[in-house]
Amino acid sequence: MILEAAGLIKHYGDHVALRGLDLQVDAGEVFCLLGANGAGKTTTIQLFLGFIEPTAGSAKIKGLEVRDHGLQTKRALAYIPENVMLYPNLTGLENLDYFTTLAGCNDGDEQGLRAILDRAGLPPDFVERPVGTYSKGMRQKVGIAMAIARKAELLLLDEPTSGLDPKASNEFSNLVASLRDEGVAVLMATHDLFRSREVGTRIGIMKRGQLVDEFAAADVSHTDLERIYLQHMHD
Amino acid sequence: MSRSLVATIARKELREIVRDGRLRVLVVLVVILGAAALAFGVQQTLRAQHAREHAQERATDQWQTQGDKNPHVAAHYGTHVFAPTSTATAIDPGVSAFLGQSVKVEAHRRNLASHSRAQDGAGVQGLGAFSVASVLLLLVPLLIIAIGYGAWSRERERGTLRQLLSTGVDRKTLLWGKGAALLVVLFALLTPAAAAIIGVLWWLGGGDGDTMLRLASLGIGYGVYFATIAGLTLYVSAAARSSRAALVALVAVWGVFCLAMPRVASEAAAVIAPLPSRAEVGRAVHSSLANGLDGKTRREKGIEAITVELMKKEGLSGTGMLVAGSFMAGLELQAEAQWEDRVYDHHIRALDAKIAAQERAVAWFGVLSPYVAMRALSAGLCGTDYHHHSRFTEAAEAWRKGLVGQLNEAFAKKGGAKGWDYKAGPDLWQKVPPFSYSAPAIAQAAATHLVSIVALLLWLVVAIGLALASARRVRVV
Repeated sequence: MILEAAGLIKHYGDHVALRGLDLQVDAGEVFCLLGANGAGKTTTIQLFLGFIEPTAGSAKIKGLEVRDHGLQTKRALAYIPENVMLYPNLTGLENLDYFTTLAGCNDGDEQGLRAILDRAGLPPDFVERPVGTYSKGMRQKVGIAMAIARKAELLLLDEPTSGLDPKASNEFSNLVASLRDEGVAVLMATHDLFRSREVGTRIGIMKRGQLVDEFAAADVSHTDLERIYLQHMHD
Repeated sequence: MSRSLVATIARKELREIVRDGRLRVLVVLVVILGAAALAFGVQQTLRAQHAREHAQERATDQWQTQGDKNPHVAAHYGTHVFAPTSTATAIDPGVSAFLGQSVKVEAHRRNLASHSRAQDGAGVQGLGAFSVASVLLLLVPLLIIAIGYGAWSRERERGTLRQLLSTGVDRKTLLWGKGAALLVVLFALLTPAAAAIIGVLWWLGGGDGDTMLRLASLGIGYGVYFATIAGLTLYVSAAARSSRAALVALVAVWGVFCLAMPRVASEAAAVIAPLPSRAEVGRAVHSSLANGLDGKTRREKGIEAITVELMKKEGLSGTGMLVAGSFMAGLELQAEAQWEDRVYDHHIRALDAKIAAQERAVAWFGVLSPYVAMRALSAGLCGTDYHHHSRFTEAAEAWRKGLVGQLNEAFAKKGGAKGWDYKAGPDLWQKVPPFSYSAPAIAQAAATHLVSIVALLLWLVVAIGLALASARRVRVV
C-alpha cells in the first residue's frame, strides 16, 4: 500500500475537519476525493504532506508514519496544488531544475528536463520565459513536469484542474492517466465529477470530515456519479 | 544537511534578487551613498591632515624662532601640539569630530583639547554624521532587511513554501541557503567597497601594517554585525504572519536598535555617571590649586613643602647654604609646577574616569542593540573613539610636563646671578624634543571594547539560534 489513512482525526480548535478517515491508495490507482468545500479534502492532503499534524489517527506513506518520517515520506511523493506556485522571476526550466534538485532527482541533464517539460505539454517557446508570464494551465504543466521528473510513487493533487480551460484540463487528465498507467498512486481532491470518472480508479465522497461513500469508478456512469454525489450533498 | 543543496538554494535566491529590479535600485543607491561617504571622508581627512601639518609646522617655527627669553617666560607663552589624524578617520570619524584636535601647552595650566572639527568646519556640521561607517551601520542593515524580509513570508504567501517543502528538503537547509544568499549579496557589494577603502587609505598614507590589521578586524566586526542582522531578518520573516508584517516589524526593530537605543544608552550613561560641567571642573581645579586636594593645605604651604623635598633631592637640605637666586627661583617654579600638576592630574583623571564610566555604561547597551556594540567597536578600531583621544591628551600632558620641567631646570641651572633677567635662546628651544604620539596598538583598542565584542558575538549566536528555531516552526499554511 502506498498511502494509508487510519482513523485520521484533525481538529482546528473547536472545528472538526476530519472525523476518523480511513483510506487506502495502492500503486497504479487514482483515488478521487469528491466533496463540497470544507469537506476535509485539502486537510487530508496536507496531513499526508506533513504540513499539519493529525489530532489522532495515522497517516502513512509506504508504511512510514508521516508525522515521524516527514523527509522520507516526502521523497516518495509529488504534490500539485490548485495553483502550482513557482518563482515568477525564474523560467519554467529553472523552476523545474531547482525543485528537482531539491528533491534529489536531478542529474544535471538539461535536455532531459526539457524533454520532461515537453511531455508535460509546455510549449517549447515558453520553456525559457519567466514563469511570471505563464498562464495557470502552463504552471500546472510545470507542476506535472516536476512529478514526472521526480519519478514519484505517489501523486497528491489538490483540485489541480480548477480554473483550467477544457483543453488544458483534458491534457492534464491525460498526463495523470499516463502516470497512473506507469504505476503511480494518485490521491486527487477535486470538484470535477467528469474528470474523476475519466481518470479515477476509485472514487470517495467526503462530507463533514468523513468518507461517506466509496466505489470503483468503472462501476458508475457519469450520470450515476452525479446522482450519487448530489444525493450525498443533500442528505 | 547537504552543502550542495545549500549552494543550490543560495544560487536560486541570488538569481531572484538579481532579477528583482527594485533591489537593484536599492543596491545602486547604497553603493552611491557609500562612495559619496568615502569621498567626503577622504576630503575631510585630507583637509584635517593638511591643517594639522600646517599648524604643527607653524607652532614649531614660532617656538624655535621666538627669540631670546627667560625660559619660564617661554613656558608661559607655550606652544601647541596637534593630534595626528588617523587615516581610518575617512571611514569612521567616531567622536573625533567633536573632540579637540590640539592642546595649548603652557606653564601652570593643563588645558583641555580644543579646536574640534565640528567647531571649526562648517562642512562637518552640515553633513552631520555622514560617513562610510554610518552607511555600513545604518543603511546596509536596511538593505539586508529589504532583501530578506520576505525570505520565508513571501514563500508562504505565494505558495512556493508548500511546493518547496513537498520536495523533502529540510528547513534547516533552506535557512542556510537563504542566509548564504543574503551574505553573498553583501559580500559582492562590500568586497569592491573594501578594496576601494584599502586603496584610498593606502593613498592617504595609511598602508602600514597596523592600519591594515585594523581594517581586517573592522571587516570581521562588520561581517558579524551584518550576519546578525541577516539572522534576525530571517527570524522575523519566518515568525511574522505576512511579508508586510515582517517588514514593519523589522523596520521597527531597526529603529529601536539604531535610533532609539543609542539615545537611551547615552541618557542612561549620563544618569549612571553624570559629568560635571566645564565650569564645575574649572571651579574645582581653582579651589584645589588654592587649598590643595584635601581642601586644607594652602597653596603656599604646599609649594613650600615640595620645594623642601626638591632641595633635599638636590642635596641642599642643610641650612645656611648659599644658593643662587635663579636656582632657588627655578626650584620654586618646579615645585609650583608639581603642585599644579597634582591638582590637574587629579581632576582630569577624575573627569576621564567618569567619561570612561559613561563609555562602559553605553557599551553594556550593546547587549540590547548590536548597532550600539558595532558603533563603539568601529570607532575604536578606526582610532576615533574617546579612548584614543584620551591617550593623545595624556601624551600631550606628559610632553607638557617634560617641557616645563626642562625650561625650569634650564632657568635654575643657567640663570645664575642674572635671575629673572636670564634669557635663553634658540639653542634651548631646539633642544626641546618634538612632540610625538603614536596611537595605541589594536590589541589595546580591542581590550577597551571587549564588552562590545562579546555583545556582538552574543547577538550573532542569538540571531542564528532564533533563525534556526523559527525555520523549524515556520508555518506552511
